[in-house]
Amino acid sequence: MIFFRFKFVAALIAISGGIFISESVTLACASCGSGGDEPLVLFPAEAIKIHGSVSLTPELESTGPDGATLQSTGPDRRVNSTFAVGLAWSPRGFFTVAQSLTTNSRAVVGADQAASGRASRSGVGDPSFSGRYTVLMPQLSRPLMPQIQLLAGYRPAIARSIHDSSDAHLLDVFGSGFDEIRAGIDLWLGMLSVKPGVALTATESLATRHNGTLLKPGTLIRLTASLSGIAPIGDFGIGAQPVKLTTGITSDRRGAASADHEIVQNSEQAVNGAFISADISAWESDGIKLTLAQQGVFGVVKNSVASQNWSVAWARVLR
Amino acid sequence: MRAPVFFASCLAVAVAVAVAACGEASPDKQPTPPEAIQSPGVWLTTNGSYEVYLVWVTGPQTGMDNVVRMNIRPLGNATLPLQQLTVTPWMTVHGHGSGNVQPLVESRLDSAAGIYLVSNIFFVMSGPWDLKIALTDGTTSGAVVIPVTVPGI
Repeated sequence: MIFFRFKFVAALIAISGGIFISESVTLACASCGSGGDEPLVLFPAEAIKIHGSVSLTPELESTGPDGATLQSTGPDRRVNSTFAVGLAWSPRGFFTVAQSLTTNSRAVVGADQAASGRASRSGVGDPSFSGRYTVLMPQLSRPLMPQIQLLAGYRPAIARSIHDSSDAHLLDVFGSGFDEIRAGIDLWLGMLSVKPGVALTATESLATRHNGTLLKPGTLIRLTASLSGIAPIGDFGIGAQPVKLTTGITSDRRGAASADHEIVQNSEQAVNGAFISADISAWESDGIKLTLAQQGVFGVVKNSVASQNWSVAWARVLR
Repeated sequence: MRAPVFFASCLAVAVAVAVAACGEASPDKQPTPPEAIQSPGVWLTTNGSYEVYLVWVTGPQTGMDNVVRMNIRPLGNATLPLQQLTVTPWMTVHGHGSGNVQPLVESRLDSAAGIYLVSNIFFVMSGPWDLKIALTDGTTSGAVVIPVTVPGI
């Protein structure tokens, strides 16, 4: 796993360098600062857009308060399919609704080969309702003036969580168990050929009673720093479609949880991640996005999960 | 266009340096050492109504095959046998328990003497756990939280 992380960082830095080579090429960028956090974002000219994606998390490592890896009986692989619809109410703002379908699986070691294999369960996750509003639009005359978007979201806890799981391997866990409210700001220099961006979001989980205890996770703060640009890729005889690369790092910090209104000592969470994604235009109104993300790529992973995630997303502008 | 390139380059270098620096400082994550810290000794309920002595028959380990024997001694006005004894494994720092998999309390040993066997204690992962124990004789109640370190491989 450590070897994989170093490879990932090396690839990340190498491709970051590739972005700078092509400073003469510019491509529009929407909601760039937050990188791949949103499943679906709309450009100002788009009114309705649909999205479908499949992501694979081939390995998950839970960690404790000291950062040590914990042995878990839970899933060791996860496949997540997400479907989303985005609707613009003005050139400045849009809503998105997203729903995921998750398949958790785990290797099962039986008495013989016939009894061994993988056990899996599928179920719907918590839906997501979110919106973005651009408070500062791009200005050709002022390329160093950042575009600024405000964002907000709500994720109701309707899926089964670890608190009401009845599977010994937690294969039936598809949700967080807490209603979540998210708000934040996303800003990026969209007029530049190489677009730096920053996003800051805060997610507040609502206190919920589980197993007789009123639980409330701490506030999650996510900071994302990203760079977007055009990759210097030739047409390879299949058409000169530009490829937009976005790379960046994320830092997640969650404050201490509380149980029955009392702070739980040593329950803070921390994990840093990195991501890189490639956007490719396909046909007239479709787009393909490939993303590789890793949580726990550097620093201590405290009370969290280190994981790697590969995803393929497709989006189509309907209007 | 030199200024934006310079700005972007600085950001990239900062990211690369941060990644490299943090990567070096990060300790290699190792599984929790196997020397389990069980919970020897006597634990007193928060109101001092009962003493609880706990011995692991099997475990603690990840999975479901954990069994513990409890010797419970009433203090003051508290009496035996207990009318109710509940045991809840709880991973406090992660804020979760073991879902709907609940421990089974058996009183066939000698409940009149305060000896109880609790099986089906399920730890979904290694690390620092608590056993939340609540007990009552119908009149006097007590509660105690006993820390348990569940070792990794």
